[in-house]
Amino acid sequence: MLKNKEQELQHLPEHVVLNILCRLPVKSLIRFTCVSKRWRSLIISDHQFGNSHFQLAAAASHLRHNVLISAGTTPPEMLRSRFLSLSEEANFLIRNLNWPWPSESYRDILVMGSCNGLVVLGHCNSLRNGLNSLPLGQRYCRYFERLVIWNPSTGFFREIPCPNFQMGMVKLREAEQEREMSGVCYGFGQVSASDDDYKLVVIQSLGGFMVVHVFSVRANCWKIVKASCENIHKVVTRSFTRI
Amino acid sequence: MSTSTDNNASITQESGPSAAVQDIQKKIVVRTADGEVFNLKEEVAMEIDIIKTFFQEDSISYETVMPLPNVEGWEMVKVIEYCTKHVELKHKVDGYKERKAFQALFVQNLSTKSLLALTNTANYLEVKYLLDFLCQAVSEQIKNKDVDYVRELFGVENDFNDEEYEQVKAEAPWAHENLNNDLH
Repeated sequence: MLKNKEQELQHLPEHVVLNILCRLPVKSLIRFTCVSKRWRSLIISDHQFGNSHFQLAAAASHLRHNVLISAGTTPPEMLRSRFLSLSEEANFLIRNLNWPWPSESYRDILVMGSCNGLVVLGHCNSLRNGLNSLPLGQRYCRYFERLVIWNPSTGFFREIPCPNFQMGMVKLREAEQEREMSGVCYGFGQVSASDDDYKLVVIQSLGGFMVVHVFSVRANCWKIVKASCENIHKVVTRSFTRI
Repeated sequence: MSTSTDNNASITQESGPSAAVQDIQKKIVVRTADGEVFNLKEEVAMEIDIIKTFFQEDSISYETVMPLPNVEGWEMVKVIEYCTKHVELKHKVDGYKERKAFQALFVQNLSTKSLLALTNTANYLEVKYLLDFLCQAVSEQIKNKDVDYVRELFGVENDFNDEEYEQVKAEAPWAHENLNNDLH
């Protein structure tokens, strides 16, 4: 009986293996990427798995603390990766990290915020968009065109849709649009510990008033929240303290 | 075959116009790979989707013995045990503690290998809540184990050569340390 069972286990359906794996803590998962090439590919690149583990990994309290080093403007020759990790557990050795867009220019990546080991990155192809000729506020908006939530310790990342900045602009007269888009501020964090969801908040400042865009990671969509100017101040403060 | 109109209690009662109106606990019969035959209460049997589909989709008579060639006798015993408890707890308002206690006992004497076999069976039989529970149980048992253990358990062959293995291991050597000693 045992022999048949062993053969059968080798044919354990992938989704069952995934069901088991997605419940494992990050440390175990990383270790099990060494089990076989198939497991490695499952753990690292399976999209569905990345999603279901996303929330688990973010909540893993047994993950040791690492420091994320972001190499903004250092010439590429000096550091092999845009992001590096300094880990207490690994005797403070610096490790190059795998990150979502390794072929992009460092300057085009903006770190939007981080929370619980998750980092939000924005990307904008500066050459293509002629970034330097834009006013500052609009420049930052461009970084939202490509957004990703990334877990540096596991390498998982998930692209998220960009917000609809035009929605806020609709209220203004056409002539004012260019001038009035004076700025944008943003923050990423968890609204409350019990709510297994992360929010990315972007506040578009349009001269006289502000438009608040909120992205829910769990719902995977953007919403525009109405807020008066006094409330905006509170929201901004609260968002930033969570980073 | 002659029918005794008085005999309403037997399960071999023929169905048809003369069938008893009295309450008979309907049973469904299955046969596992090793030839063992099981009589399941209808409400328990219906928890097992593969059985439910078999009988309901084509309106197959309950007199048919459903073959389950991928299931061993001992596995069927465990599945019936779990589903019976699940049905029982459905009607209870606050069954949380009882469920937890039951679950702990349920896996107590099962080796990890058996647990995995049972997981495979729960998947085949299509009992989602049992599958999820067993996957959780397996993950608890393997989370602090090393790579060799996991390979052996899942029957996975190592297709990394020595160099490749050292390379992937070097990505996070800390993940391979302090195993079996963790408190969680």
